[in-house]
Amino acid sequence: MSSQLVRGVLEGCLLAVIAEEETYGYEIMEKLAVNGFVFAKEGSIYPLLLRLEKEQIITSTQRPSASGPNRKYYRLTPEGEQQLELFRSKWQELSFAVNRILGKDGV
Amino acid sequence: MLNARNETLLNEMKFYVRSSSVSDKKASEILMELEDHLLTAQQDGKSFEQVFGQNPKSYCDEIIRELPKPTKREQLGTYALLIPLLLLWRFIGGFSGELVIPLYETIAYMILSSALACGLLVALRKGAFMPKRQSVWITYVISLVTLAAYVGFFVFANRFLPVEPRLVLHGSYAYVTAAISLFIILFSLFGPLLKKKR
Repeated sequence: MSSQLVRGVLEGCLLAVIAEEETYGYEIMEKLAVNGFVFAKEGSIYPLLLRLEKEQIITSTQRPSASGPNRKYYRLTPEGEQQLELFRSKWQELSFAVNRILGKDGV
Repeated sequence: MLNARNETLLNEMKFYVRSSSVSDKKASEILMELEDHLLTAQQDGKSFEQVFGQNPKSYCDEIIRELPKPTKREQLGTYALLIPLLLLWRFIGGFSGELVIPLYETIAYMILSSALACGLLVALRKGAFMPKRQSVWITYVISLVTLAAYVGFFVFANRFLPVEPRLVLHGSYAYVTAAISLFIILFSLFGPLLKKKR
């Protein structure tokens, strides 16, 4: 699959995970991994988080953590919620189309 | 606590990211996150490569691409680090109530110091993520070149550069300038520590 498509899907899923509850990097990666996202390197989510924060799709607050340094917790901005809704509808359209095509071939 | 290998590799990443042209505040934030991630991953029995991949340098480049550029204030702060070095030089020969500042020599010294500082940074960045033996060699060569450049400068500057025009400060002017310089030197050396404590 083209890496651009994967990146777009990853971004959408990342927004969905953050929408559930305020969360931090490691937890986001774990939730994605548990649901079947395979990472060549776990750190791949951080450049993405940086970009989403720069584009004001997500925002963050720092809080002390038990493990040591402060931890950055992310949540969606209103803009982010809109993006997520857009992703949901686009994905539904796409997966519907793909499933139909694949189903027709009996795959 | 990070194990020795993870700590060394993370420190290389910290140096590489911080020494590039990015906002220091944002860089500190993301590096703190990466450290937190690596620590948790280590506790879960994962390796450095599972977190940052086989090529940490290209991973850092990905991070750097997404970081904002430094603010004007942060840029000034970087140049301000050169100031104590520039001022200190005037006091190397001792201070006896008179300050002599030859124009051409001072300009040459500033250009030399800036060039060396830039060269040093470029070379150290190139040396990041290299095998230890190689990076020790690079540091050794850089130190020698720097030392040779300064020694060369002090030996030959007087011969080749015109002494005039020069600014000579006597009495109270010299003392006030010396006191202000000393204050700036101390502040730029220990200021960051004070900031950290706060």
